[in-house]
Order: sequence, then structure tokens, then C-alpha cells
Amino acid sequence: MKLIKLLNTLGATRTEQQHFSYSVYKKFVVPLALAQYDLREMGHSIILQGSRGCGKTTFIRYFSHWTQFDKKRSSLESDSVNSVILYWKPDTAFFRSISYGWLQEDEAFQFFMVIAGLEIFEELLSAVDNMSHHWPEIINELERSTEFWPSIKLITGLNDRDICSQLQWVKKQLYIAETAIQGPNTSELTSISPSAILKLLVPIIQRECSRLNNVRFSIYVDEFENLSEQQQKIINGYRKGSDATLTWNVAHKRFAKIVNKTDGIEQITETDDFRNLYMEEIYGAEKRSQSYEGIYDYGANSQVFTSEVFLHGLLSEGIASDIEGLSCETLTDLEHINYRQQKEYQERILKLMRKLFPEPQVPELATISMQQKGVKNLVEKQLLKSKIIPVETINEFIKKRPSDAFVSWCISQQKTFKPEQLLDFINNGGATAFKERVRTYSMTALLNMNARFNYVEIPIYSGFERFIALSQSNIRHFIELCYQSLSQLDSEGIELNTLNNIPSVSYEQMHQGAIETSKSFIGKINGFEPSGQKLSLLVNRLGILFQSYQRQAVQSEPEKVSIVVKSVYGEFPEEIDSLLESAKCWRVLIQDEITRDRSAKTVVSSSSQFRLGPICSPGFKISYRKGRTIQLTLEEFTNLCFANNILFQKWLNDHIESEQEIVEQGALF
Amino acid sequence: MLDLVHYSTFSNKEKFLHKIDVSSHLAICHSSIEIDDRTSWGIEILSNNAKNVWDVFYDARKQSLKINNQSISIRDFVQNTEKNPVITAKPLIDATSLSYPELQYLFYWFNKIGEPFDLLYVEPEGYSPSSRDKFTLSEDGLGLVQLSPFLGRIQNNIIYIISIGFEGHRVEGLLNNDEYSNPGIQEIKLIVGVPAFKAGFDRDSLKANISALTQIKQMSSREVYIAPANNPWVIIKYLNKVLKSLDKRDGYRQKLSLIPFGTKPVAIGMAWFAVKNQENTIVTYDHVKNIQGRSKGIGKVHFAQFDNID
Repeated sequence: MKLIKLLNTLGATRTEQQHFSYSVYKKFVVPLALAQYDLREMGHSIILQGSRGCGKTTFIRYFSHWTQFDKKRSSLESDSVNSVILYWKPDTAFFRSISYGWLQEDEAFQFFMVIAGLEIFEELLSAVDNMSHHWPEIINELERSTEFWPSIKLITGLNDRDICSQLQWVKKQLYIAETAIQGPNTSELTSISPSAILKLLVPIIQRECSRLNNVRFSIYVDEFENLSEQQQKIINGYRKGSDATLTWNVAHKRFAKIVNKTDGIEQITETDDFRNLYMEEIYGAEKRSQSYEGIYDYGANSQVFTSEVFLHGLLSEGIASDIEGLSCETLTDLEHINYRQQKEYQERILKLMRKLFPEPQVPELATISMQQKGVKNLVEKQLLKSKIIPVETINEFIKKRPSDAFVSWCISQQKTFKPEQLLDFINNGGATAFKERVRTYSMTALLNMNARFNYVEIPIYSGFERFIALSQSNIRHFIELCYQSLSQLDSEGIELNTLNNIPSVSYEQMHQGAIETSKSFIGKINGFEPSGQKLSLLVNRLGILFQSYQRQAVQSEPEKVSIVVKSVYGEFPEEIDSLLESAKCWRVLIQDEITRDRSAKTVVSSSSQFRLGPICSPGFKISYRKGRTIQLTLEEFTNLCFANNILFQKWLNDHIESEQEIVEQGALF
Repeated sequence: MLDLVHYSTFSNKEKFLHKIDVSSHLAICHSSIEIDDRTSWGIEILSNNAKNVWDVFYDARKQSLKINNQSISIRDFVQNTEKNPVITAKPLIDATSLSYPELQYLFYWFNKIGEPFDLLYVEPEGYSPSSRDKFTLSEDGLGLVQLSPFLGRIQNNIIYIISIGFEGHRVEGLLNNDEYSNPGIQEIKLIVGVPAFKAGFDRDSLKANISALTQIKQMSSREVYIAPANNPWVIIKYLNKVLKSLDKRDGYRQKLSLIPFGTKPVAIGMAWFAVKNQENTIVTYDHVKNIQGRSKGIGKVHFAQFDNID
């Protein structure tokens, strides 16, 4: 296969629209910790949370009857089940619209109950149909049942004892409901409700079907946060009433605003009524102890899994695997989890990824950059300003130790720089303090050079591990980084048969791919409803602020890419609070635990700090690492969020100017 | 039965004033806010000369219209209850100052009661980009919401018809919205305004929408329809043609989902079509808030008449 063809196919797949079936059979890469997070084994009601693009929907669909009993399967994973998972993705765009003032409160309730009831009825019938395909005795037992079809008749009024006719009835009733809402006219609506339909039919199915006797039915409501407040309360009431035979569960974006009240007087609470599951943990990321919610370490397991999802995409398009133990089957079949946990296998996967996306270490990047004539001249000119060091020594230093010379370029611009320390470093390896300084400022020097000089492009965002850091294990971002990097290859003439055939992507190509992915993401932020434009403004202004710090000639501290907003007890006005919550939910800002800031002169009341999602970093040429903080007053931050461009630019100029004065006065080392 | 019977364009405001007498009209506009030069001019002309003036504003959160400070729910309004105000003269809708939902509901009501009306729209001389290739003409609004009673389930197989303007982020907002991108937009038709109000606007519009267009290019079923930016006739004709082609399998007709992000004349065509084909139409709007000084100058003036054709 030609690489260009593969890229075109992958490009189409990335934007491929979902079709009717919810099955992800042979499309779902099974996470290694599946057993621990098997939705079929959950004894409680669950909230499944994760950032956008992390795979919540795919995860639920994998466990649902659509995949477990997919008619394309030649055999089932197991001869028995403990639970049947129903999947309901409400048409939230429609549901939210019917909750507004067009309808009276009772009508809005009635329409929601009827349409939701019909959709859940459809889902239950589909589950029976899918299960009966593999276990024909189910439909036979239901046929003999004196309760099942009469109960169905009670709902639909139809005598037909086949699922297909009943599904057609549902379709017709949905059409009637949809048309009636335009009236609005409730008189033609059928009588049905989500909870009643399940309470009526599930016990009959459990009782009459020998294979389903002690089987729990669990329904997962996807995109819960997009339902209206009242609709969420109704579902919460169902969740509160979950029991051993039927549980209601929900999935939503992490940090989304959701309601905990029921439509009665009760509330639902964690532990008593539900447990939280986080997609990041399911995919192998490890929660940092005492860290903020949503902050993880993306270790080997998480890296392997993310890589496997990417490689599965290639294998699905017909690229053969020449990696021992890697195939579509091993990735999608539960049977092979133990094998995939073996260190040797994981190393082979990581080795392949590191070969495809090789990663230059920081000293190597500095050395590479020194091969650019422009960079070398800048370094030479700066170091020669140290009059006490002979020209020959500097030239020799640049020639023999280009990486150290490069970082020294950055350090030598600091107010506290002492040429004799550099001379000592050149001649004798120097004191520990200077060596430590070289280590601390190596990345800063690279970022500074990139940000200050447009003609310099040091590929700092290249490499597999950096892609992991940039994407924070967000599968959508990771695949996009890989895809955009591969797209930089001269794909026309490259023929691919196997994974090992794929040529390594150069540092520059990966760097370019990362910048394109990042810019594309930043460009889409203004579409992140409902505060997209405000989020976009905030992200762009923070990007400009961090970039301004990073391009200062004098780098007093490495990588200032976080902000702390000074406010009383960390409380913000509603407008700011709501914007920050939305930013966290869309993952454009990340909230971290506060880090001690060496330059801090005042006690900060706010208990947290914010930085841009790392995927934004290449677009702004800033650091993707956590870095140090910039303190802003609440007034400054409010202006940053909402002031017009002229005011913001003026504030930025003043702020950077005052910062430079502080840097010139202060001594860090 | 009402329909669009006349549509004329005047090259400048003087020619419009010379030909059209607004003194016998009931002017309907959003007079409390003067966004830009053309809106101010329109409001001034109507306030000073029309027989009566209604100040109309749509509150998207409450789904109600405020007419001269009297609030009326959309349901009451479109059902023509006694709460509706009394029409004292031939209505003249100022489409320049009114937003899409306000036009949509006024059209609905007048069509329902068979009340002939006129409509005025003033083009700007130009728009000011906030940065290169980027126009910020509005602020975040409520987000995408269907306009009652043009409601429908989007999980069904529907055709999206989007008119594009200068704000590419509005189309991107739709494309990146999980509610729409999953289960997916199966069929999309874009209305691009060519010829535009002025030479070069069409290029600006395409540049502003480049990112959205790139995304749409990847979709399997997409179509670009080129239509004049200032002619609602052509839009109504086009939408009727699409309507005829809808899938009617299983006895359930496919629906059109109209998303008016483009020029006002195109939106007028969409709004009128929706009124005439309510059963087959979903209307989705993002309720953005227009910002002060979004355009400059006063360009051509359009005048339309909706009257009985029986």
C-alpha cells in the first residue's frame, strides 16, 4: 500500500461518521486493566468520566449488547453473562430544546418521558434481538412465556410476536411524538416511560429466560451533561432507585456541570448511590498522590495502550504486522490481555513507536540547533561579550561542547551571570552551581531561541514521549499528532507493507506535525460551546502572555507557563468561575496543585494554579511542561479574560516591562 | 396564502427614501440597541417617519418576545392568542436590526393570520476584521438550540443546510459539537453567498470559514450551493428543490435542518421557507450576541413585500 493512500484512508476514518450500529466489535482496543473496570461486573451505579476524545462512548459500547452480542461474531466471549449493558445516547440537542418555554412544565415532562421511553424500549428490544441471535433459546422461551408478549401488547397494542414489527411501531410513535411537539399537542402521544418500561419487561426477561435468570441489566446514559437540569433530575431519580437487577448509570465529560438532585426531594451522593470511574485510570494512567483531580502520570501502561490504539488504526487499514504478538485480534480480544501485559511485548510496542517517532534528548536538540549557522552566530556573539574569556577558548568550547555552549548563551544573558564561572565551567567542568544551572536552563534556552527568532526552528516538540506529554493520553490528540507527523513525509513514493516498513519521521517533520495539530486545536476552541469565543480569547491571551515571558532576553526562571490568580480564599466572581469550569471541562486549561514560586513576594490566597492544556503549547511555541507560575491579581486576570484587545495589549506591555525591571534587580542564583 | 411577491434593491439610501414611503407603516424593529451605522439609520428613519413603532426583542432563555416592554411567550405569540398586540397599520419589518429568531417568529405569526407585510434590509459598506482573516461580529451566545416549533430529532437521517458568513467559528461550533458530530452529519449542504454584497466579501467569507470547509471536505455527502448573498428568492427556490428530493421511505419524510449563519437576505429566505414547511424543517440557531460597531457605513437597501397570492 502506498503511504499516501494510507494517509487518505486514515484521514477519512478520523472524520468518519458513526453509522446505525453501536457495535465496536473488532474496533475496540481492550485496555489492560479491563477486568478491574469491567462494566458488566459493577455492583453499583456508575458515573463514567473522562475528557473529550478519551473514549468514554467506545468503552460503554464495547460492553453493551451491541458489541458483546454483535451478529457478526462467530462465537461469544463467554457462555454466560452476569450482566447485560444497554446503551442510551439521548438526542440531547433535541431534548434540551423541548425543555424550554415552548412547552408547559407538564408537557415538557410528558414529551421527555414518552420519547425517552420509546428510545429505551427500542434499546431493550434490540438487546433481546441481538442476544437471541446467539442464544436462540431466549426468543423461544419468551415465545412460550405467558407474560412477555402480552406485556408488549399492553405497550404497543400489537399482536405481532416479532421484534421487527415492534421496532417499526416505536419508529412510528417517535415520528408522531416529533410531529406532535410542533403543535404542541400531547393528545396523540402514546403512554410510556423509561423507568416503567424497564420495570415491566426486565423482570419478565430475567424470569423467563434461563440464561438471564440472575443477570443484572444496566443502562448507561451517555452525554448526561447535555440533558437539561430537569431531565438530569429525572434520571438521577432512576439512579437513586437502582437495585441488584436494574441499575441506571451515566457518562459525562470530566468537570462538566451536572445536577445531583433528583426530581423528588433527595440528592444522590457518591458511595451511597454511585461510584466514579475515570477513563484515564482505565487506560493505565496513574493518579498522582495528593494532586488535583484529573492530573495523572502517563506511565508505560498508558503509553503502550495509546500506542496500540494508533497501531490498530494502521493494522485495520491493511498494514501487516511484523511485530511479534501484535495483530488486530490480539488488540481487540480479551483473551490476549495477559500476553499484552508482558514486559517483552510492551517493549516491542514502545520500540516500534520510538522508531517511528524518534525522540531527540535536550542536549541533542541543542547540538542540532548549533548546526544552524544563525544559531551558532548568536551564541558566539553573546559568549564573546565575556571579555575575560579568550576568543580561542570560546571557539573551542562551541566546537567541542555545542550543547553546553548553547545553554551558556541563555545563562550569560542573566543579570547574575559571572564570566569567571563560565570560564571555570569551560576549563574544569565548573562548580556544581553552574553545572546545575546548565541543566536547569537547557530547555529554557531552546524555547527562548525558538520564541525570539523566527528564522530558528528547533524541533522541541518531536518524539514519541513528547507526543504522550502533549496529548496527556487523550487518544484523539495522540492519533492526530502521529497522523499529522506522518503526513509531513514525502508520501508519494513510499510503499508500505508492514509496520516496520514505515519510515521514521524526522524531528523536523514531527515538530511541524505537532505545530499543525496544536494550531488546528487552538483554532477549534471558539467552537467549544457555549463559551467558545471567550475560551478562545483566554487561551490565545494566555498563550501570548507565556510566549512573551519565554521570549525575554533575560530568563530569570525557567519556563513560566502557569498562572496563579490572587483572590480572597481562592474565590472568583461567578463569570470567572464559570469560564474556568468550562475551560477545565474542554481541557483547554489544566488546574494544578500550587507550586512554590521563588519570586513570590506575597502570600497567595488562591489554592490552585492553571496552565494551558499541553496540546496548545506547540501552537504558541511555549513549554509543554508544568513550569513556574506568574501571579496575577483578580483584576488583571479579569482583564485578561474580558478586556478589549487594545486594553489587553497595553496591560501586557506594562506587565512584561515591569517584569523585566524585577528581573534586572533580582538575583536568582 | 401569503408569499414573497416583490423584492427590490436600491443602490443607496436616498433612492430608497425617494421611492418608498414608510409613513403609513407599523415599523417593527429592535430599536433599543444601535449596533452599527446602518442599524442606526434604519431605526432613525422608522422612528421618525413610521405611523407606529414596535420595539421587538427575543429572549432565548425564556423563549419569549418582548414587544414594547410587554413580554409574550413564543407559544402564545405563534398561536395568536389575545396577548398578541393589535396590528394598527401595514407592518414593515426592519430585518437589519432584528435577529434571526425575531424574524422567524414574526414571519410565523403573519403567515398564520394572513397579514401582508413589508420588509426592509440595509447592507453595510464593509465589515472590520478583528485580525487577519478573522471577523469578530458577535459574542458567545446561548449555544446551539433548536427554535420552537421547528423541532426535531437529529439522530434521524437529516440534511443540514448551513449558510455561511464571516464567522467561521459558528460553523466550527456545530461541526465540533459532540451532539451533532455523533451520530454524525450524514449530509450537509453549504450556501455560499456569491456574488456577495461587495466584491471581495465572498473571498473574506471563504477565508474565515476555511477551517470549517476543510472539515466538511472530509465528509462523504456534501454540496456547496452558490447563491447571491442578497436574494432570498433564490434561497427559497433552492430549499424547495431540496425538499422535493427528500427521502420518503417507510412513510416518514426526511427533515431539513436549517442553520442560518450567513447573510440576512439568505436567512430571510430560510426563515420564510421554514414557516411554509414547518413539518419538514428543524431550525437551529446559536443565539450569538451582535457586538457594537460590527459593520461600517450604509450600502444597498432592500425592500420586500409579502402578500396574498390567492
